[in-house]
Parts: sequence; structure tokens; C-alpha cells
Amino acid sequence: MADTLNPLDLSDNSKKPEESNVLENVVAKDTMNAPEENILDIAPNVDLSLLKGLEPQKNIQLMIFKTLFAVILVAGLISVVFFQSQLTHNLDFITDAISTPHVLKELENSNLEVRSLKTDFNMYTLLQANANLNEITYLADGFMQSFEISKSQTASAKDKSDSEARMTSVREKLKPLVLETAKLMNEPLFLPLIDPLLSDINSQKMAFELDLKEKLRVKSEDFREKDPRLSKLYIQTINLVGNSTLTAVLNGMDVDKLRNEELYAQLKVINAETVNDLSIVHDIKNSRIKWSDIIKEIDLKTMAVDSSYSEYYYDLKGGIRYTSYEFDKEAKRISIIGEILRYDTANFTMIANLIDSFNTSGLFEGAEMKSFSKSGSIDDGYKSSVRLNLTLRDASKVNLN
Amino acid sequence: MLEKQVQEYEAKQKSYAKAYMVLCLVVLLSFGVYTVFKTREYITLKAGVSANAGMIKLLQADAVQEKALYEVNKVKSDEILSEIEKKLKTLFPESDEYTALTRQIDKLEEDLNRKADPFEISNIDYLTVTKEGNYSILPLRMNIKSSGENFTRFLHLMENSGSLNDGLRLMDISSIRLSFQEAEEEGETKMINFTVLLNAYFQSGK
Repeated sequence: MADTLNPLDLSDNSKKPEESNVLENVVAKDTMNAPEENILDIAPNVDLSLLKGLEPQKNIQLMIFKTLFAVILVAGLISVVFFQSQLTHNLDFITDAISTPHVLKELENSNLEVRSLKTDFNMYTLLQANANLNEITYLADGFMQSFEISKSQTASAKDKSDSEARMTSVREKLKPLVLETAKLMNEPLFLPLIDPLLSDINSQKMAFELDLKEKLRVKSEDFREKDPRLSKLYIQTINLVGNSTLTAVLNGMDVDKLRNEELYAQLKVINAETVNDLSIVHDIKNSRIKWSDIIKEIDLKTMAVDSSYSEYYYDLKGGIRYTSYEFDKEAKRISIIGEILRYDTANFTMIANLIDSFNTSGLFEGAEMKSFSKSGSIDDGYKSSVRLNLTLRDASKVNLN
Repeated sequence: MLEKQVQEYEAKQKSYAKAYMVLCLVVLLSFGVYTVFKTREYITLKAGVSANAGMIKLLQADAVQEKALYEVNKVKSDEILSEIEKKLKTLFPESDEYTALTRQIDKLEEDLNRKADPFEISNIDYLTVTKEGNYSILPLRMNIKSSGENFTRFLHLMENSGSLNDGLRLMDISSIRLSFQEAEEEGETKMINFTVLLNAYFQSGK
């Protein structure tokens, strides 16, 4: 019975039937006289299955939104595919197959071309800087030798004056070279690029420097057999790539204003930072000990104790006389053997003063003698032997005049 | 009852419509944001390509110019290198070159030795060559009798050896043992007898 439905139920209850007196009267008459009976037959059942085939009215809004959704989805997917194909390498197989433009690839290729051209430019810039540095170190060699002679405690006045003149002449030649080299070394080795893989400047800078080093290395290999000198120049130039110490020294080098000492020190740094045929020679020279200055220092420290220190006065008035020296660079040791002649009895005081005097030197240290003895008489004088072992302080200090 | 079902159906349709509307908004917003960001990125890359095109033209010209400049300067630079190489052959040779060194020492003695100011080398002993990293050392021992002044001159020569200006072989004093000789007569130059161990340097591996 659940499927049956009274058709009257389908009528609109809200509508009231029109009032008719005739019908009312007929019904009233019949019902009053006749026994009670049904006028209409039993309500027929409605088969709802008949309604199943009927389409309900569609909602327009729903249709619009469904369509809109589909459109947005398709557009979005097209956008994703497009950007994936242009901004990544995920869909390269498609872009390659249909040969469509690929903006990321275009950028990468043009970046490579820029890097390659800039590397070429950088290579020629630094090769020129290297050539200039070779000339600077060549001139520096003469300047430094002259400076050392001019500062030597034992060089003759003429040698010193010649050295001064040579240094002035070298200065004139150095000035334009240093300026030009500083300009070349200041040339930036990189160009800022839009590169998704190298987003920060430091990474880009490093990439340009690596490109340049590799290019120089490859060039050096190419010329190894054909032109060994050129091959060596390419290798030496690698040392200049990103050499901030050298650039800083060149930038701060005002040849006109620098005193000889300052120029000497800066040229030493340039020599140390430059790799060329003279580099080893400079290293060896820097490790040398100036024995003439050591001997002069021994004389000066002795004079501080014995004001009339000399062979001539020793025989007349007594004093200090050395009979032998031993200098050993490897052991950094100096041995001094001598004697002290006094016509009073203050030999031991003089030895003690000599030890103290030596120990005030900036060149050596460790003067020690713990056994004192003397022999002689008041008429012939008293003699004491002196044997002192000194240690060189620091080779670098000893070198620097 | 059918009316109720129809009402329910219509209500359901309306709620579906609302859901689709929301979905549309969400998807639109997501794709919108994605597209905006990616478009920016795309425009940046396009700008990069365009900027590179301009840069490439400039760099091509600059690289050619720089190379030409290098080629011009190379002539002078080659001359300097040749000069350095030539001088290095004497002061820092490729092999021990002990015969050339002997001649140099002999010349040095000749230049210094004077009757009033003697400098006499009595013997030269060349010792075994040793290798030190980038260079090799030829040690030599000499016994010398010299005046005090010539002794100082000799020290100066050794200390300044290896200079490109004078071409004296690069050397270094390793040790000195000296003794002062008493003057036999009054007014006679005081002599120094010394034994010096020198290191003469040369290039390694050649």
C-alpha cells in the first residue's frame, strides 16, 4: 500500500471548491432519504515507477558552475603544462619533440655564451696584468737590491749613493706600471646574470672564476709542446684569478708618496703573490741571512762595552779582541771566541757587561757564559778568555735590515 | 510525497551548485596564484634572455678589443721575459753548472784581490747536490785569506748575489768559520782566514 496514492491527495488543498447550492441540496436530499453509500469508487493506485523515466528539471546555476569548473580546470592544467615546459626541464621530451621555444633553455644557453665571452675577455685582461707583473717584479729586483745596499751598515757611501739613484730611476718606471696593473686587476671578473641555478652573486662570481681558471689551464695544456713559455704564462696567470691580496696592494700603492721602506715592503708582497720565474729566486733571497749586518751588530754591541774596541787600542790600552767567529745558518748559531785584556782587575765585569750588551740586540739572543777566569799580573795586565754562543732571533727579522 | 522528493532534489541541486561555486573559486584562486607567480618568473627569464642578447654583442666586441690590446703588449712583454730568462740562465741555471760557477768565483777573486788589500781563495770543494722542493743546492766550501775590507765586500757580494742587474749566481752563506791573523809587522793589514760554506742554487729537475 505504500506505493498507492489517492489522486485526490494530489489536488491542491489550498484551493477551496466553489460553493454551489444545487449540489448541496441534492446531496442533502439523497443523504437524508437513502442509506449511506459511497458515491466514488475506491481511489486507484498510482504506479510511481512511471515517474522514474521522467527527467527532473535541471538547475541552471549548477550547470553553469559545472561548466565553469571544467573550464577553469582545463585552463589551469594548460597553464601548468605551459610553465612546466618553459620554466623547468620536466617536459623537455615534449618541447624537444615538437621543437617549441623553451625560455629556460634559451636563458641557459645565452648565459653560457655570456660566461664564455666574459671568460675570454677576463683571460686577456689577466694575461696583460701578468705581463705587467713580470715587469714589476723585474724592476722590483733591482729596487730591492739597491734598497738593501742603501740600508746596509757596512756598504760604502758610494755604493749607497748609487743605490739611491737606482731606486729613483726604478720608481719612475714602476709608477705607470703599477697604476695600469691595478686597473686591470680591478676589472670585475663576472657579470650579474639571471640564473635560476646560481641565484646569489657569490656563486656567480665563483662560477666565472672557475671558468677562467679552467680556460687558462686548458690553454696551457694546448701550448705545452708548441710554446712552453706561453704555456707557463697561462699557468702563472691562474694565480691572479681572484687574488684579492695582490689587488689590495696594487690599489694602495702610491709609488710617488711611499717611502723607500714602504715601497720595499709592498714590492716584497707583490713578489710573494706573483708566480713567475723569479718567484723561487725571491723566496731564496728572502731566506738569506745578512751576515755582514750580524758582524756589524757584534762590533756595535762590543763598542757599547769597550769604547776603544779596535786592534790598535787593544795592544795599547787593553780591551776586547776577538780571535774567531763561527756562523751557522742551519743551526741559527753564532760562536764568538776572543780575549779580554785589562790593566785593572775588572775582566769579569767587562765579560758580564758584554753578555748583557749582546742580549739587548734585536738580531741575536741567548749570550751566556758561566765560567770566568783570568791570569796575568798588574804589570803585564790580566787576560781572560771569552767564548760566547748566540742564537739568531728570527730569520725574517735578521733579513729586514 | 512526490512534491517533497522534488523539493529535496531541487535543494540538493542548489547545494551542488554552491559546492561547485566554492570549488570553482578555490581552483581559480590556486591556478590564479600559480599562474601569476609563474608568469612573473617567465617574464624574468625572458628579460634575462633579452638582456643577455645585448650583453653578448658588447662582450664580443670587448673580447676582440682586449685580445688585440694583449697582442700589442705581448711584444714588449716577450722581450722582458726573454731578458729575464737570459739572466736567469746565469744566476739560477737549469743544472748545477759548477764550471761556470768556478769561473765566476775566479773572476770575483780577481776583482777583489789587490796587493794592499788581498783576497785569495786557496781551495774550492764542491759537495753533494741536494734537492729542496722547487730548487736544488750545490754546496761548496772555500778557504779564503782576505783583508777585513775584502771580507766585508765578499759578504756583500754573497748577500746581493742572484740579482738580475749583476748576474752573479744566486748564492747564500750557510756557515763561516773565521779567525783573525795577527799582523806580522806594524802597519801591515790585519788578515782574516776564513772557511765559508756556500749554497749555490739551481733549478730542480733539469
